[in-house]
Amino acid sequence: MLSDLRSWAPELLTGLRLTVGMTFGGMAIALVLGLILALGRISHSLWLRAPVVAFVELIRGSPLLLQLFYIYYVLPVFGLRMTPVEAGLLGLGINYGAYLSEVFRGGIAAVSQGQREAAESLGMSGAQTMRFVILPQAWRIVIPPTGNYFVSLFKDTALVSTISIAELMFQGQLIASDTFRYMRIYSVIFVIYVAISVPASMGVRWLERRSNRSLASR
Amino acid sequence: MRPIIEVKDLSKSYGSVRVLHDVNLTVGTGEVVVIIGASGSGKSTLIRCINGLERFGAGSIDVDGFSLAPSEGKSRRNMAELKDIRREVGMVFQQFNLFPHKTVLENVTLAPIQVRKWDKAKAEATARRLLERVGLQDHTHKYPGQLSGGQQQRVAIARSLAMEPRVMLFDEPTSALDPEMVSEVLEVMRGLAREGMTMIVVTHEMGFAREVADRVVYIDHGRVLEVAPPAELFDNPQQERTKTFLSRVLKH
Ligand SMILES: Nc1ncnc2c1ncn2[C@@H]1O[C@H](COP(=O)(O)OP(=O)(O)OP(=O)(O)O)[C@@H](O)[C@H]1O
Ligand SMILES: [Mg+2]
Repeated sequence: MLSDLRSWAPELLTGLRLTVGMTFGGMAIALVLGLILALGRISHSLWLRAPVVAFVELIRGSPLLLQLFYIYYVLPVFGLRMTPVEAGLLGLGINYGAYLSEVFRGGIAAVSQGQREAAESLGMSGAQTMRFVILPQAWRIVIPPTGNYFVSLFKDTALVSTISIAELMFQGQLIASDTFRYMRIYSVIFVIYVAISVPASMGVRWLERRSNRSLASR
Repeated sequence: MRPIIEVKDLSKSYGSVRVLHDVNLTVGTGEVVVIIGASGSGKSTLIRCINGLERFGAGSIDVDGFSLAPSEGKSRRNMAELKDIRREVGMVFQQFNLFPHKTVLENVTLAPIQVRKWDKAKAEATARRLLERVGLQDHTHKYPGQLSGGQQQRVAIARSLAMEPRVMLFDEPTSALDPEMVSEVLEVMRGLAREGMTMIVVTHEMGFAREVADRVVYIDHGRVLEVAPPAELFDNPQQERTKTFLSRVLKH
């Protein structure tokens, strides 16, 4: 068992590094895209709002796996060729961006109308109000759900193994098909995912408690 | 007295419900006008129209040479027009609406820095002076949640004053306060009035109205029914409805 582990370690580590990289990269795209989509969705202009709503529904209404395949196999037909990692980051970023946009929209809506009115009555523009008054408060509200999406993105990176990205899951499959020690290798992979995502979830819950407390004391 | 606010034939509806009917009101520079009336009579709506928080359907509002035009039902508003008016008019809300994520000092400096483009040093010096004036110089680094209601409302007044408005609007500034904190806020408002600030105050504090107001406006179902100096309006109301309203509120 230990010798197996030792001999698999280099591949598993390479895979894990890529998994973590895909998680952070995908999340970075998702955060930016989610904020843009959320702002588009609350825009007063129907020309902005309608396409954003359509896009978000399109993404939320279809499987992530299909979106990854679409980006990797179909977009090249339109001349958009990407490396597997680029396609994977884009797919994860878009998918999670669509979900996060709903979280952000809710957070923005949860900041009271009175805050908006106070800022407006001080002569602040819509953009200034958003930036200095609404978003900093919305951010506290959305930290816990965003953290949960972050952990779930970490697990969903396993799907990008299907477009030949050699992350943790993919390395596991390679080792399994080489050695036929299915139980051993998949148990190891299991433990690695759980060992990261469970503490991360606990961290999110700790953040949540802390932000509740700091909001209550204010 | 030169008029600074002129509201002419102002009408406003929410959907098919008319909440203001041809309201006319002229306020002179340095004048203190108190608005009274039953719940739902349109007091808040009227003063919220004056700084453009509400749109209106007909009439006009002029503040110190800047005017607001009707925009009800239109999808876009004239932002330049709004900006001009809001520079002239400060507003204090019943629920204070302080920014909870910013310290007292930051609450007061945010708009001067962002809107007036003052540098931080100037904005902070002004803020400290104003906070001292409302008696909160020792609380500049606290967050709003760490202050009492009365203290929060005094910060909100300082925050509005920091933009150097020519006119201050107050929408029931003491209604959300515990009784023992009402006087500290009224005291600040009295000081402002003494220094010549033009003020429109919606309040149920009849003692304050009698003492500080130059004129009292009685609004009933969205119409201005009676306008008179406090002594006249309280002691010798001309309209039956005003009498009924006063007898109801003064009994409590
Ligand atoms: N957003 C809104 N949508 C529909 N109707 C509204 C809205 N805001 C106010 N109204 C209605 O407009 C009328 C005037 O309301 P307003 O808040 O101006 O009254 P008020 O005199 O300030 O009352 P109060 O003393 O309770 O604060 C009321 O009948 C109210 O129900
Ligand atoms: Mg009101």
